Amino acid sequence: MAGRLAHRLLISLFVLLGVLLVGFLMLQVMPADPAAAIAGAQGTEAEIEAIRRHLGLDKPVMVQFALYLSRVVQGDLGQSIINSASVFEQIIGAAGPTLELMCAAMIWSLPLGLCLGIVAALRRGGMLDRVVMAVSVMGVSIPVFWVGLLLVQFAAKTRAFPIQGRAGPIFTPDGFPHVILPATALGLILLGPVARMTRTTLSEALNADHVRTARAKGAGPVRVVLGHALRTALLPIITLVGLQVGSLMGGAVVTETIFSWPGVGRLAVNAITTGDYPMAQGAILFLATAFILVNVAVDVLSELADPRLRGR
Amino acid sequence: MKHMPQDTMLTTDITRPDPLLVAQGLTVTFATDQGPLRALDAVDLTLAPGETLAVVGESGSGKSVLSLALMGLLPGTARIEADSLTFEGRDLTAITERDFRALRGTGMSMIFQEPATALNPVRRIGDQIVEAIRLHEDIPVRKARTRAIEALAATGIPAPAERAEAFPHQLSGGMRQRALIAMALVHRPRLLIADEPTTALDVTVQAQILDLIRDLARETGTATLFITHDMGVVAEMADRVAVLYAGRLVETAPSAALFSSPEHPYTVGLLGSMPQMNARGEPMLPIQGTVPDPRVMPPGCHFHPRCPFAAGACLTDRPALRQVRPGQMSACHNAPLIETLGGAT
Repeated sequence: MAGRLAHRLLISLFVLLGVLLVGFLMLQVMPADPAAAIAGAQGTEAEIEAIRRHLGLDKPVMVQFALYLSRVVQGDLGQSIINSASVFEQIIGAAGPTLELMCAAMIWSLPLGLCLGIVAALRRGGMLDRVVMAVSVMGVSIPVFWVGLLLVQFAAKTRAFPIQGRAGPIFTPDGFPHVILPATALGLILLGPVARMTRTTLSEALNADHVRTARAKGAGPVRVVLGHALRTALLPIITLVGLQVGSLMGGAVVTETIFSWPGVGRLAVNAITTGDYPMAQGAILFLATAFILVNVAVDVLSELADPRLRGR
Repeated sequence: MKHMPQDTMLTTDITRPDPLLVAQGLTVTFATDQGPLRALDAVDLTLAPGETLAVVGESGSGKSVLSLALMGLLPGTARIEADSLTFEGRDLTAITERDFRALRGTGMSMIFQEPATALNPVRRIGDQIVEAIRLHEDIPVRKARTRAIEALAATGIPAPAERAEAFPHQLSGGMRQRALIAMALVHRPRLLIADEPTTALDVTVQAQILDLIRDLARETGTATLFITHDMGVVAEMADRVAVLYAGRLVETAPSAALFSSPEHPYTVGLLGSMPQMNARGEPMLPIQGTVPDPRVMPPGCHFHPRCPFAAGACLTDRPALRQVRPGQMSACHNAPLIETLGGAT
C-alpha cells in the first residue's frame, strides 16, 4: 500500500510539471503585458523595457520557464506585480477560505445526493424517483453562476442572508451565515451527479446475486440496502466525487467571485484580469495541486472500498 | 393429496410422518408490461424431512421461480397464490415479512448457481458467515468467528482460518461454493434449496460439491430441494423427482422409477438427452421444438406441440396429474406410456 502510494505520488509529480508548463504557456499568450501593467498608464517605453528586463521577460521562453521552475521548486512563487506581496503567502492565506467553502458545499450536497439517489433507486419508476431525477437534471444543467446570481437576488430582496464576503471561520456564529449562500450554489454542482450515480449503481447492485444471498440469509431491508448493495455501489460514486471535485474547484472560482469570498478562486480571477501573472500562475498551481491530491486520495479510498483493486 | 404420505414412504425411510414442506396449487404470476405472465401454474409439491427432491426442467420451466417463491424472495412484481403453502405447518402465504426473515437462514437456506457472484465481493468470507450467524443468534463476534471457521472446515476447505480472511475473488469457484454451502448450513436448516449449484463449476469439482451437499445434508438431517436440468445430477442425488414443464408439474416419481419407466413424454425426452440412457437400446425420443412462450401457451396440454403422442384430448384438455403406479404421477392423457407404445407397435 505504501509503495503504491509513493508510486502514485511520483506520477503526480510529473502531472504537476505538466500543469506548471501549461499554466506558464497560457500566460505567455495572454494579451495583457505585465511590464506595462506595472509601469502604469504614465510609464514610458524605457521604463517598461527596464521592468521587462528586471522580470526576465526579455529572455527566451524556455529560459523563462526553467528559471520559473527552479524558483517554484524552492517554494518561491514570486511577488504580486500589483501589490508586491508574496504570492505564496497570499495563496496560503486564501487557501483556508476556499477549503472552507468546498467543505461546506460537500457537507450538505454529498449526503443529500446519496439519500436522494437511494430513495430514487428504491422507488425506481415511481413519483419520487421522477422528482429526484428532475431535480438532479436541473442541478446538472443550470450553471453555477446563474444559481449564484439568483441567490444574491433572493438574499438582497429578503435580507435573510449576508451576500458579500466572509466574517471569520465558518463554524463561528458570525462566520456561518456568510457561507450559506455560496455553499448552496457550489454544492448544487455535486448534488445532481451524485444522486444520479447513486441511483444507477445502487439499483444495479440491488439486483446483484450477492444481495439476493444476503436476503436468503435473513438480512433485513436496511442491512440489505446499506450494508450490501450500497457498499458495493460505493466505488463508482467515490470515483465520480473525485472527478467532480475538479468541477467544484471551477465552480469555486465563479462562486467566490460572485459572493466576494476571499479564496484562491477569486485571487486567480483578480490576478488574470489585472495581468498579475505570478499570482495567476500561483493560483493555478494551487488548484491543480489540490485536484491531483484529491485524485490520489480517491485512488486510496477506492482501494479501501473494493478489495479487488488491492495488490494490483 | 391423499397419495402423498404413501408416495414419500415408498422412497425414503422417514421417522417423522409430518411433511416439511407442502405446496398445493402454487401459482406465481408476474406483472409485466405485456400483461400478467404465469411462471408457475398450480404446482403441487411435498417434501418430507431429510428427503432429497430434484426439480428438473429446461430453462424457463419455472424451477428458479419455484425456489425463490419458497424462500419468499420473489420481486414485488410477482404474485403468489396457493391453496396451501406450508413449511413445518406454518402458512407461508400468511406469514409476516419479519417472521419469514427469521425463517430464512435458520429454517430454510439457499445456495445459488453462480458462486462467483453470490458472495459479496467487498467483504471477507469469514465476515459474511459471521453475519449469517449473528443475524439469527445473539453471540459475540469472536464466538461467531470460531463457528464460521468450523463451518468452513466442515466443507473440506483447506486452511479454513486463512480462507476466512480471504475475499471471494481470492478463492476458486469450487472453494466459493463450499463457502456458500458453509454459510447456508451454519444454522442447520431443515430445508436446503440448491439452485443448480454445480452448473457453473468445473466437471471435476461438480462431483465433489454434490458429494459434499449430500454428506452434509445427511449429517444435519436437512431436506434438500435440488433444482437442476442435469439428469446425471438427478440420478446421483435425488430420492424423488419432480419434472416441471412450462410452469406446470408434469411428472413426479421416485428417482429409480423415473429412470426405469418415465410416464410423461417430456421426461422421456429429457432422459433421451442422456447418452447412457440410449445405450440400452430403447427407442430414442428427442424433444422437438422449443419451450412455448409463456404469454401464448398452447391450449390443452402445454407439451402437445412437441409431443410424439399428441392426439385428441391433448390438444384441448389440460391433463391432470394422476397416479400411474404407486408413488408415480403423470400429467399425460396417454399414461401409462407402455400401453401407448405397445399400441403403436
